[in-house]
Amino acid sequence: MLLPEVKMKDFKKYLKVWWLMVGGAIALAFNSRIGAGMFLTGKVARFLLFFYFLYLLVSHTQTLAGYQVNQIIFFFLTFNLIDVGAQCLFRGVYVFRSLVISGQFDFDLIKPIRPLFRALAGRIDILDFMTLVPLLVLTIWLLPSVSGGSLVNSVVYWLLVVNGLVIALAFHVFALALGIVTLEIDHVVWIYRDLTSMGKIPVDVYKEPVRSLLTNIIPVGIMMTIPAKSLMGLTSAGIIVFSFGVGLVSVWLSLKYWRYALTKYSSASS
Amino acid sequence: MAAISKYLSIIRTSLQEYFIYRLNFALWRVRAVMQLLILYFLWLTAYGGLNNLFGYSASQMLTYILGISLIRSYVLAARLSEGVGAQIITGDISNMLIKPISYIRYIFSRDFSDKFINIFFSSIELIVIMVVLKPPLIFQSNPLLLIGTVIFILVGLTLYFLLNFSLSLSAFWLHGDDWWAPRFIFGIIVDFLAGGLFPIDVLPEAVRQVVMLTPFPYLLFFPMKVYLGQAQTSYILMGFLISGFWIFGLFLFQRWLWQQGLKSYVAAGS
Repeated sequence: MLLPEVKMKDFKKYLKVWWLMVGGAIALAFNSRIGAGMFLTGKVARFLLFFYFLYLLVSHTQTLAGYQVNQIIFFFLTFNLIDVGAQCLFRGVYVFRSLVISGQFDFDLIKPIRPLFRALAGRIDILDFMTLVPLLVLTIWLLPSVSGGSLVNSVVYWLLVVNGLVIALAFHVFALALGIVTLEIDHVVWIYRDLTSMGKIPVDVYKEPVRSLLTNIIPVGIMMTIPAKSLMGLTSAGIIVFSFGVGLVSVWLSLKYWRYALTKYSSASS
Repeated sequence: MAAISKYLSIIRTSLQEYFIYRLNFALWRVRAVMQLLILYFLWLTAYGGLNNLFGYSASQMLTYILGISLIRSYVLAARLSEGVGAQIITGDISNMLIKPISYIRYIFSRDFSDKFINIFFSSIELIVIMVVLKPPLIFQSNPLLLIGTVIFILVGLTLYFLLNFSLSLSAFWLHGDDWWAPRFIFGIIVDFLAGGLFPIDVLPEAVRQVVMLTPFPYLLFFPMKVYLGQAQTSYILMGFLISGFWIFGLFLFQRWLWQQGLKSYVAAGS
């Protein structure tokens, strides 16, 4: 297993390596200030425009699928927290295919750090990180208005947000493994992004069978909707336990698949 | 005649390219369907028990959303010409400049094949969605409005080509991956201001009036507005004048940009 085997000493080593990679990512991102500025502007504009659209729509209809405007906004913020967090941390998946087909992945395999760590977290999107900070502030600011002041619900909410990130981690590990076995990775990641984007709004909005698909087959609902619903006190304890179970099982399965995929890596390059 | 056959050959070979990368294309269409479903269910749920929202009945809005997805597949399908920036940055455009063809017509021919194949497949997808979801749609029977819709689709197509091409030419003055940054912002602006997410009438009056002076609403929103029979004659004439002004202005602008770009182009690649 990746996580249980990591000791305190190892943890410090990985943190140091990760920090070095963050420094590299910052230098790379701001190598061109014009490009970085435009990308950052675009990311912020995309968030604000969809935010405005949701606000405009639900303030006219009063409710959407039974949710009030501040609740719908909160679902959107939770989606962004998990989506942007995953984009920021697991960016390495976007360049992994080129490493495999060029054979450069060999160099990661011989280094004294786990290749999965390098492949997954080897590139950090610092622009996404910059958008994550105001998102967090906005979420924390809006949180009391939807939680009804319940401390337990707030704690469970943050744990479920982490669980959402764990499911996102599992998916990215699965995509990396698939990249080794089939060399097909880019589209899988984009399909994942489109599917998870359906979590911008609560999955209750979708009609059957799409809703069941998003809850039971592809855990978009568990990743994006359940955390906010638990904060609002709209989920049962059983569903919360089930959500954590899905998180643990998905990460376990993805790591097993990753180990299997490594045995199939031929180092042949194209 | 020989000149036309050259460009017909380009259209033919571009179409063949699609069938080589079938998985690429299939996944591209899957993503388009997912994006459509998000909007469809969002608007369907927004209506709930309401008869009218933002001046649209439920059937008008659902017709708008599905109609936009069809128009989008025609007007905004230009994935091949989006590579112009990359060709400039890498220096690959040099190969095209020495060939006995017009580069702009070459790009337009490539775009045409993209539009042809996209409208074919999106029509099939739309029929499947209509059969499965059975949305209450409006089928326009007034021939004048249908002709007006087709004319404005052609206007949108021309406008998008000119906007897209002009934007791609910015690569003459940008470096490295920076050429992609203006495209990123452009995509976000088009998503929101062209009416792909919601009809422009949804916006507050003052904002709407400003947006209607830009070229974006004439890409998607205006043709559907005409189709739904919601546009008065004076409104249509005004739309024709504004979009005509933009087509004329952008035509001159892209010619000037192209000439200036060629002067500064050093074929060094990135």
